[in-house]
Amino acid sequence: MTESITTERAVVDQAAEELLERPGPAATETPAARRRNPLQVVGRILAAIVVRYWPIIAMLIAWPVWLWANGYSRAVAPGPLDVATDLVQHPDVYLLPVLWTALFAIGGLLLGMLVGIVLGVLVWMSPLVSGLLLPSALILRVVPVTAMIPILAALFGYGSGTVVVMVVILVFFPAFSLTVSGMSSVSQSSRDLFAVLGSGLAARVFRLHLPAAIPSIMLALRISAPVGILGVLLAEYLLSGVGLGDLLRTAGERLEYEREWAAALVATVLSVICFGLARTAERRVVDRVT
Amino acid sequence: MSSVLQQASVTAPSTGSTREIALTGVAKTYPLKRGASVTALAGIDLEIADGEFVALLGPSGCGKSTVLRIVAGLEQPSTGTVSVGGASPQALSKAHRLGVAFQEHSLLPWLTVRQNITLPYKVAGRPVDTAHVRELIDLVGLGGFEDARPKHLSGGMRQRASIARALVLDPDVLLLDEPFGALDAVTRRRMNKELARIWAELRITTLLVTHDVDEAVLLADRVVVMTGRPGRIRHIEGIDLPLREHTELTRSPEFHEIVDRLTGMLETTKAA
Repeated sequence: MTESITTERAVVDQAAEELLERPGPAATETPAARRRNPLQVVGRILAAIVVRYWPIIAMLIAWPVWLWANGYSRAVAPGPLDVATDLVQHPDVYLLPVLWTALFAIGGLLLGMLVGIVLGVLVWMSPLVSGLLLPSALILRVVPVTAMIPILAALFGYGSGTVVVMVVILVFFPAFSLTVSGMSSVSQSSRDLFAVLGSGLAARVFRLHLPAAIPSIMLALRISAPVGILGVLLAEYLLSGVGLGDLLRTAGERLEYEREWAAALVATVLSVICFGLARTAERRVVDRVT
Repeated sequence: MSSVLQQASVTAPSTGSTREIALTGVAKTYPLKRGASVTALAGIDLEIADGEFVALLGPSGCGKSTVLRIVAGLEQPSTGTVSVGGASPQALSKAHRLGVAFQEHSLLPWLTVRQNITLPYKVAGRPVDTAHVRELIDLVGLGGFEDARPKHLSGGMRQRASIARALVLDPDVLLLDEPFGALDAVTRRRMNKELARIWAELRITTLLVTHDVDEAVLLADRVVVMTGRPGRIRHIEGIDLPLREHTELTRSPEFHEIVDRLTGMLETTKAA
């Protein structure tokens, strides 16, 4: 049941990607035609940017228009220029929080993936472990992570440990369920082959079922990468004294709206980069194992 | 090349002369809903001598693959006994002395050709005999493609790799389940001839399952014709043709006489 939810999400994800990757009308022209005129080339690139990123451009235009139409001053909401100015003038304010957030996210993501994969392998191997682990895994999945924060903070303290634990809780489930379904997707003829070769359980897991699950595991990584950033920001916002989440909160408390908005922008960019890296890694790895 | 291979098969661990396959009174029934059952095989008696090549020939759905799966230890007979090399099929595969190639090549896509052929060593936990692997790669004509991965190979090349993998541990028994079933007619004929050449060098006890009469007659010492529903042995034809590896064989009148007769038998089987 939960597996199908994850899979559904993956399918939607995939469909959205395919839409993004579909070549537009501009891409169908021959390279020779494209090289004709430098002005045309620039025009084409600009057109491609507009086609692909028009929501961002529209937002950058709508933002100051909205401020002007409502008569908001800088004390209420900053304009794009104010945000950019703060980013450029005080890069040192953002650098350390970005590093902290990235460190927590990557650490938590890798640890969560590892926990999910190990649990997945154990559950795949043994119905007993499956019976023991699945109910608690489902509870962890269902309870909203913010509701767990007081308990986690009491257990692991109001610091970095809890931030990482939260990311692990958010991230392990897709890795876990996709590992199990990936390991179960091995074809009958491959299973027969290993049976005839007289394979033991260890060889079956590490030479057949786990490698066969790698595409699913990479899919889990791609799904989880932005979730990991979200988890870190939330945990930092609510508990730790470091990172972009903390910067968001303190800037808000001090009514430094330029800084708050800039921190949100930086967090968004970080999340996009994280997703992009995970997607690239997924493509490379999947190409290698299929 | 052939001398090294002969040497390899001589030095291979084997149980001596007990490499024959014996099926006695084998039947297989599958349960259906509400207590009903379907009989896939009935009263199969078959003995395959050490170093003999036997082809199981029959229309699709006649249970010939079930016979092979029982010999491979992948399925249990409902009644009757199977022994391979004097032991159970499971004992043989646990001892890593069984080689199998299926219609689906089942090469692992994340491994190269060489790594796929080396896989049985790894699964058996034995040290890899790299010289022997290289020999086999040459024997099946995959020299130069060792580091290619299965998705970059043609269908015929994948089956060659699959057969090399079946042979790599010098098995006592070789089981081939429609290994060329997914190939086009021309490639299939060429692969038949290559298999005949390879087999002439190795002489392993072999059971081949096929629905291709030419293939069966070309390769086997004996052809076992099966009828379907339930699967029974209808006829056993001893093939005694000269020059098995010879290209001209498939054009000889003797070859065609046998092929025509067995084809006729299959056609009446289907009508029945």
